[in-house]
Amino acid sequence: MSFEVEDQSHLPTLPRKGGYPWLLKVHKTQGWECVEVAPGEWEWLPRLRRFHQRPGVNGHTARSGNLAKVNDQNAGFQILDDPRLVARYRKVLRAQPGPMGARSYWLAWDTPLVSGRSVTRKRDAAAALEFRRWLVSSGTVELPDPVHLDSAIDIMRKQVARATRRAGNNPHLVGKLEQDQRTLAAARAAAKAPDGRWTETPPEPPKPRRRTTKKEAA
Amino acid sequence: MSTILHSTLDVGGDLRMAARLALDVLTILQDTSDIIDTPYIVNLGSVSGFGSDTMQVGFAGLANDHLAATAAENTDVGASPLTDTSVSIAVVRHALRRDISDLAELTSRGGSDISVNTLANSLVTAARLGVMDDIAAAIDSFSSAVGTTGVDLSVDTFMSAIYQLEISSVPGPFCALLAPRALADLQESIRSETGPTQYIAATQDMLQIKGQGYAGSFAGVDVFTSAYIDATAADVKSGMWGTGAIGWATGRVPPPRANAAFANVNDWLAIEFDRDASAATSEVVAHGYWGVAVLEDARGVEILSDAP
Repeated sequence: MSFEVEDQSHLPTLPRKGGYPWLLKVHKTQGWECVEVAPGEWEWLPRLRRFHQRPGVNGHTARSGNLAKVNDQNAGFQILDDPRLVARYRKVLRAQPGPMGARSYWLAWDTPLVSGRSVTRKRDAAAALEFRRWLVSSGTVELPDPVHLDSAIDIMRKQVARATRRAGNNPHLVGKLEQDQRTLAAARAAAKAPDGRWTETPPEPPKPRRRTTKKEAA
Repeated sequence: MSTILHSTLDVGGDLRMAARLALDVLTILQDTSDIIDTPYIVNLGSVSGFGSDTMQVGFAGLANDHLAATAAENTDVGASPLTDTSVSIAVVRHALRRDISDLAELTSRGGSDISVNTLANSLVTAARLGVMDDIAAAIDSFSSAVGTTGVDLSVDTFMSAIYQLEISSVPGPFCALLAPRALADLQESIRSETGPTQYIAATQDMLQIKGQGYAGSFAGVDVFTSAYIDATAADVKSGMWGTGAIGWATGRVPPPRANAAFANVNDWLAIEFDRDASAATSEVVAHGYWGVAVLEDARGVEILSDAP
């Protein structure tokens, strides 16, 4: 698959040579995580992995990535290689001039920040999250059966159980434990929801304190 | 009588130099460790002379089916088909060339200064790091993953990775290949642990056995570190696996028929020296043929933690 080269001449020279192109992939059942997409609103979302188009890795040859695709598909991965989909998440930066005329490949929501010889990625986290949500809401990636999500929940449950034993009175650990417990509860609820989404019931507002009048007291 | 000043001698550079070069040429900071000689990367051998550049690794479920009780003592038992699968590793050419002019070579001060010998030595390291880079890229094909996006690697996550491998009945010993940041986060997390939990840092003896990149042992897992682990903006993708999860195949560089200086460094790497006489330039070329792949993804788990 060829990639469109955008005009990125305004970007700084990247000090390291670019890598190989890659596509995104997600696993159909493994590596899903329950994310708080908005306060009190949780969703099961797939983790994004890289399908490296790198000769010599996982079956890629210099000519084709078909073997690599078969290897990954046999392992349960879904390669996000539809050109329309790729256009949505890929941006290609030309390293200018860049050693050996190499290109560097970035996600649309990542921006390279160059400082001396190091490159730091600046991420638009909202855009990245939005893409993951869209993958599920558009039906591009199917939500796994809750049975598959159970293994992820089980790992979270064990972590919470372990944290409960050692939290004691340490305020930092207690705070983390409460957060983990909340995530676990949300993950369980969202797994049971047919669309993998779950919104926490807002806590009931505190009842006004009843005032006792002198007459009643008497 | 006027005093001889350094600033006077320095005029035009007649008697003093603007700067003297240090005797040693130091290397720019780079992680030069690799794990390709450890038992955690299965060497599947060479494709040379077998008619293909792709090695197909077959798996047969010889012990997947068990003897089962029959309905009656004289029931006719049918034949059970054998479960099988395979993974392909494509061996491809990797190369790097350095050119050095005769004048640059003849003015070399020896030692670590740039010369044909220095370049040839550096290419061997560069080749091993190329394999290491590929191993780090292959880890992203482990289907199961632990850890949370944007969160420090902790003992909890490390233990979750061990549980995941144990749940999948992966035989030990396990090894973890962690990004430097992930290793630092793990060590920080271990500091707050109580009880018998202990990180055993690598000693000289251990390094002699396991080589550079070995960081120590924790919870019975050999921990290696590499700067070539895949990173996205928020995450680094380290991994933990048991032997048999990742393998590599190689090809031997055929020696040339021509009268050229050629050295097979090992089974998969050759260094060649060529000369462009009319340009008064020497070429040092390294060729390596290898391919890396996840052999059985259930034997490994990806460890997600926050990026530097």
